[in-house]
Amino acid sequence: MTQTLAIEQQQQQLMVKIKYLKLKRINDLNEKLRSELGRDRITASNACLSLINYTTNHTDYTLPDVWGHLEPGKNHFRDAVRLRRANKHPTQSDSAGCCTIV
Amino acid sequence: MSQSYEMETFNIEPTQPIVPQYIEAEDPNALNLTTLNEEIQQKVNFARQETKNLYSQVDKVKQNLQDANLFEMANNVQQLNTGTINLSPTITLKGHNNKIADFRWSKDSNSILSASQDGFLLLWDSATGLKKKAIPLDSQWILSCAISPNGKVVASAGLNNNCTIYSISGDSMIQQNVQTIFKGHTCYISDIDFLDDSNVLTSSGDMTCALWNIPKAKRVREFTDHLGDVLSLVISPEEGNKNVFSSCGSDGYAYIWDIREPGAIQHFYVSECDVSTVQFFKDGNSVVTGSDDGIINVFDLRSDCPIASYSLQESLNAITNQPTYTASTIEYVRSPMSPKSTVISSSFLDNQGVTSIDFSSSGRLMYATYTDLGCVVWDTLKASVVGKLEGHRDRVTKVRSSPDGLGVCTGSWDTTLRIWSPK
Repeated sequence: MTQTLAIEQQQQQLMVKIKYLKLKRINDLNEKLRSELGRDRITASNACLSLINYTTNHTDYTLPDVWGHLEPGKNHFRDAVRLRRANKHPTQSDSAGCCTIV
Repeated sequence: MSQSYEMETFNIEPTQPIVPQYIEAEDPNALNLTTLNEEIQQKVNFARQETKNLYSQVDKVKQNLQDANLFEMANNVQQLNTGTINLSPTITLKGHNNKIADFRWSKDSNSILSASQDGFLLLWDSATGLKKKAIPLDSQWILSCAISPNGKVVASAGLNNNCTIYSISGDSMIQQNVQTIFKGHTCYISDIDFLDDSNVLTSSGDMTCALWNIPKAKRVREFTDHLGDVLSLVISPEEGNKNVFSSCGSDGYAYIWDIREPGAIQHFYVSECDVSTVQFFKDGNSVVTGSDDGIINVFDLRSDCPIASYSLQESLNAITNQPTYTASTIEYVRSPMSPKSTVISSSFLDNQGVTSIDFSSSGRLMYATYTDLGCVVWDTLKASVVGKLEGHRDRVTKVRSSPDGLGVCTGSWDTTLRIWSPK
């Protein structure tokens, strides 16, 4: 008799403990949400404008309409290829229309 | 010996119920428990109500700030003329004999580190295409590689759950100079990158991201908010906040983390399906996600909301009409094996997942690779497709712009990498 009672009480204790943990979790979540609510935010329109601003203020040679072409010799990716090709065919002119360094 | 015995007896003690006490104080104690129970239940209910209120308040705040999207705001910006994108192939990096899993630019843009399922890491000169170093790997099942900012250390990781750090400062061309092996993830490592010369970030299928320190040779922090495999991570560009990185995963969320805090500082719900890639916009103020449904989303960190979205389906007509930049028309003899133009049906587009994203130096162009569609070039401000980078004979796995903004590299299952640059 006393034993079953004891077990019952233990179970009850456990329930209380679980519930307490649940409460703690919810409170943690609330705390998180509160800090999220308090975060500094700007409007989406301003965020978009700053993004657009970035795209118009940074040089980009993939867009020749806006930024023009890179000066020859300034692009290390192209120069190595050009040199290599010139070395390979010293007498032939390049059929693709690139300049040949003689 | 005696100590352990003490420990055991100590362990037993608290679990024994205190029966006599209970009998004496039967009623009051039981009452206490039930009242306590009710009290806590009340508090729980109250807290739940508060949670609900807070959620709706946060939603309201976010909605109020979401007053425009990028394309509306960019209405006045001039359209890009079709066919004027100045990008053409320079060289093809040939040497691997299996699928390219991942590759990275060095910080000075002069080298590319590539990882292939043939079990090698290769370091290339990005201008001449010559190989500088080869590193044989212990495991060929590699998913990601990275090169440190100073270019002296490289890392590889993949299906063997380990992240291996190699030193490449020695003289010999072929070397496997293992510096550290980071063990601790319990599932595959999907992505890695160097935070600086001595710190590495990893994302893993065990639902965590981790920060590892090379001199200490151990994990120094775990990031555990994800509820599914973490599929990709990206570190904020130098213009943004140096301590911030973002990760995305199969739980459909993208998280923003500060390496100094264990919990995420921001999160965005992206989609119901896997979010397979994430990238920062050039200024570090927005993250761009690519998901398995083929949609690219832009979220702004300062306004805490989505500001743009790109879907191939909506640009279907545009893509068939736009000129493509094929490697074969410019420098390479057209080979009989060159890919036939893909028939684009809408069901085909339905299955197009985004696998990687990067930007041109101004951010105006967005390069995105799709599962079977190759590398597509978007106009970031107009949500229109302005071109394609074509030339690979198989699936294009990744696209990355060089740090100096002059080059773009694509890696493919056809075992090669191609470099594209303005003329």
